[in-house]
Amino acid sequence: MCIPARLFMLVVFTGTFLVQQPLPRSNNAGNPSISESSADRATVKVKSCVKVFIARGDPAYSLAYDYEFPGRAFVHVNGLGTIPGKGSYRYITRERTLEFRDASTGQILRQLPLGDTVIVAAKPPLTEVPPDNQFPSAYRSFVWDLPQSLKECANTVLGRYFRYYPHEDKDMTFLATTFTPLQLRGVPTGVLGQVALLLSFPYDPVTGKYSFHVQAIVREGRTLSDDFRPTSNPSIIRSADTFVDALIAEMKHSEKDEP
Amino acid sequence: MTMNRARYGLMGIFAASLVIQLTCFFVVRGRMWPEDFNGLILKLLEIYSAQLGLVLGGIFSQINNPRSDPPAAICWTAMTLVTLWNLLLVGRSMSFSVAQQDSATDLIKYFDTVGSGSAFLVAGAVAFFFGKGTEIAPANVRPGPSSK
Repeated sequence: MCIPARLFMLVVFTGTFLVQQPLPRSNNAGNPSISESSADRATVKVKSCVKVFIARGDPAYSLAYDYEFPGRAFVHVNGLGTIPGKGSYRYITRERTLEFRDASTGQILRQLPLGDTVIVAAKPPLTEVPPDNQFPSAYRSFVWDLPQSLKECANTVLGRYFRYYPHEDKDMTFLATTFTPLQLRGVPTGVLGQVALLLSFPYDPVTGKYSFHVQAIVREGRTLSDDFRPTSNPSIIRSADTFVDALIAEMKHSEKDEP
Repeated sequence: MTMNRARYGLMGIFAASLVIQLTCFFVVRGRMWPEDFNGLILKLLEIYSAQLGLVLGGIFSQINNPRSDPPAAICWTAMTLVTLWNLLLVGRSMSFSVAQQDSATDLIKYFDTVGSGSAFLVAGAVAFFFGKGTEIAPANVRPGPSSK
C-alpha cells in the first residue's frame, strides 16, 4: 500500500475514533430535568443535590438520583460501592463527582460533576452524621442471606428514617446514618431519645450469606433543652434496640413488600 | 392613693411576677437538664435582684419616715409601667413552661436582652417611689427658697 493511501487510512481511522469518544459533559448534574444517555442507553437522572454540613465545617451533598445501565447486572459508584445496574438512591456523599464504573473492569461509564439543585437562602443545614470513631465498639451482628443486595434494601429502609452517608474502606462498606428520634415508653414526660447507626458489612462471607454489624449511638435529650447527651437510661437503650430490630426486619422484608 | 399603698402595690407586682416565674420553672424542671434549670433560676434572680433590692431597701429604710402622698396619676402610671415590664418576662416564662419544645438557652438570652433592655420602664418609678432624694410637697404648698 502506498504512503498516501496509508496516510488516508490513518486519518480516517483517527477521525472515526475521535467521533466515537463521548463529548465532554456539561456541568448539568445540578439540573434535575436533564438525563444522561448515550449509545448504550444508559440513563442517570439526578433528582436533587443539596449542600449540607455533616459536621461543623464539613460540607457534603445530599444526593438523590435514578439510574439505569441496560445490560449490566452491577455497576460501581464512587463512595457507594457496587450496586445493581438499575435503581434509585438517596444518600449523603462527600464526593464532588458522581462516577459510574464497570463493576469488573473499572472502566468509567458515566461521570457527572455534582452541583446544587437547590440553593438554600441561609447557611446549609447541619445534617449531623457522627464519625465512625464516635460509635461505641459494641455491636449487634445479623446475618444477611437474602438474594437481594443489602445495600439496596438498606437504601430503601434507611431512607424512611434517616439520611445516611455510605463509604468504603478496605473492601468493607459502611453506612453511617444521621440521628433519628426514638419512640420512648416508660420515661417521664419531657425526655427525648435519638439514635444514629453504623452498618458495616460483609463479615464472615460464605456462599450466599454474610454477617453485618450494627453499632448505635443512643442519646438522651430534654424537650426544653438544646443538647443531647449519651445515655445509660435502660428505657431509652431498650427503645433503641427495639428500633434496630424493627429496622432490620423491615430491611429483610422490604423486597417482599414491594408490589 | 397613699404613698405606702403605692409602694406595697409595686412591690407586690414584682414579687408576684417573680413567684409566678419561679413556679413555672419548678413545674417543668424535669423537662430540662439540671444545669439549664440552675442557669434559668440564677438569671431570673439576677434580673429581679436590682429592682427588688431597691424596692425592699426603700421600704425598710423609710418605714419610719413616711413621705407625703403622691398624685394618683403618678401612682397609676408607675403601676402600669411596672406591670408592663413584668408582663414581658412573665409572658415569655409562661409560654416556655407550656411549650411542647423550647430552649432554656434561648430563654436566658431573652432575659438578658429584653429584661435589661426594657429596664428603663421601671427605673424611674422605682427611683421615685423607693429612692431617698424625692420629696412630695403637700398639694397646697408652693416650694420656696428654703426647700432647695
